Amino acid sequence: MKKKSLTRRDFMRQSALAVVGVAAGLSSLTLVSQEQRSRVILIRQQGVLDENLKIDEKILQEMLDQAVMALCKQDDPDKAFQSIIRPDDVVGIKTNVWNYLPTPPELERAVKRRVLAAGVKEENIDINDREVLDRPVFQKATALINVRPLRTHYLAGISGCMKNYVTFAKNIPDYHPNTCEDLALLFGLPQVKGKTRLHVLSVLTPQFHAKGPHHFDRRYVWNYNGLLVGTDPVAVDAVALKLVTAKRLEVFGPRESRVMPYPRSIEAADIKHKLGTSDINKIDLVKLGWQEGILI
Amino acid sequence: MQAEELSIPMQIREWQADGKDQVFDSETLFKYIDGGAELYLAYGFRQAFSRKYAGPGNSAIVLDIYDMGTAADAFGVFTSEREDEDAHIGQGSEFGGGLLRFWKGCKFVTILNDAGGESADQAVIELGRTVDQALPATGPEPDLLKCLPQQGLDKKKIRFFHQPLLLDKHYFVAQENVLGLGAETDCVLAEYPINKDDSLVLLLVRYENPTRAKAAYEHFIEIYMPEAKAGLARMENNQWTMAALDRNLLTIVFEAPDEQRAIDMQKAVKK
Repeated sequence: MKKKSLTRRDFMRQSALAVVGVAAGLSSLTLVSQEQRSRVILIRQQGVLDENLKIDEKILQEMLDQAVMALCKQDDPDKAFQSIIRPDDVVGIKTNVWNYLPTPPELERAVKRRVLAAGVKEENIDINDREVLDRPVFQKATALINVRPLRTHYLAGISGCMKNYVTFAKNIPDYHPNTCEDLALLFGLPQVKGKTRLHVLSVLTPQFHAKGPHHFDRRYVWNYNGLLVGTDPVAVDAVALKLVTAKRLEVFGPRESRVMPYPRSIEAADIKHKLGTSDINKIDLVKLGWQEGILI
Repeated sequence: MQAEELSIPMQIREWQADGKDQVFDSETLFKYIDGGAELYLAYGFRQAFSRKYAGPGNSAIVLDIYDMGTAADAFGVFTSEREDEDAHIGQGSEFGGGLLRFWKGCKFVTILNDAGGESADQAVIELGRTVDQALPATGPEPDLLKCLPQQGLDKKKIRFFHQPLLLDKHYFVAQENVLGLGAETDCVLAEYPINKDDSLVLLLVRYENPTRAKAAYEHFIEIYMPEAKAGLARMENNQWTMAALDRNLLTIVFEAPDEQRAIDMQKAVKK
């Protein structure tokens, strides 16, 4: 039997859900979903950014450590990282160099510091974005750590954990059809499959609306001072979508709150590709640190 | 575009052209704007010219001129993200957040001040006026706009496009391409505010021929509102949707507050 196409009316039928929940609770609209629960850590600290948006690297390191400790249920940052990274691992830290909102170097360094502390040799660590197919460490990587900022995206709806792996593709436009619905396929590529140990989505200054050829408009970036951390990229992206939707609701009101285009990739990664959990009701979101303006 | 670009100044206020001008075609545009290229390729994009101006404190102003092939598609790509105040440049323009966007003839132009600041904003506007003068040819808006009822129309919320990607962006209807949109379809999406929060939404699709239009109409009814009577149905949010077909023109009224408003809007469409 042909699967029924999701329509706008399915959203209307979900009227019991709050507007904020509609976009985030995508898979509740469908019949089948991943059964296991996923865990996502949200940590925020007021002092991590100053008035000039300069990052306090020490606070950021503490945030990362606390988040990974909570995720791995360890009481020490080194133990937490040692539970996901072995000393003999070759580790590619997949960053994002997008000019307008790159992965903060302070965050790259924080991750690398812990990978080194886990016993990995310096020469077995690389940080890269657009040349990952050609870099020796990424070519022989046994472990990947995915580190990037959250933003809305003209084509995909949002640019989160899954979208960050698009540079592992030989032909990126292959992943653009149907508003990037099949981004989860990136996780089946030989250089990626089964290797990702951690996803760190920077929500220090997320972008909640995009405009212009480069998708950037500084009016739509806000200081949220946080990190989203998890091992399930679909769950992290689902929480990220909920956050962006909540911010849009706050700024634009109900009518414009939904992220457009509809971010099909999150639901498809769960239902179609079984990569992770998209249903916000099946995600254990652990909130640490600063609570003011948390939105979700 | 070459002759026009030669007449665009190398310096604007304190910003000096920096590096080599770049030209991108449909094969290389992805290298410049990644997924953003899909927007331009969803119209009749032919070529883009880009020049960067470097200024004080590492600030930059970036000028991009897109040849969209037709005036209709230059207008279309302009409307795809229109939301700011009119800058009175070209045949239609807006400025906000340091970004000037305008269209003129078959060209769509963006000028971005990426560092902020009033001085750079003024330079952006000044450069925009200069580029406007360097692009002498004007062109008509898409014919399909003439079908739109004018009463109550929010002119900033008119979107012209061809592909389902743009419909998804502005008014999600369905996960699949239920209306059979593609390069050969002309679409106009328009809003008619009812109150502060709500607007009636009108979608017009002109197909290549009546056969395709009829197939799209029937598929839409089957997928979206199988319970419809005479193309009219009440939605779960108590608003009304109406679809009607006139030869190769499909009209769909969304978000009508009552049955009569849906019928009236459909009838007001100029065939």
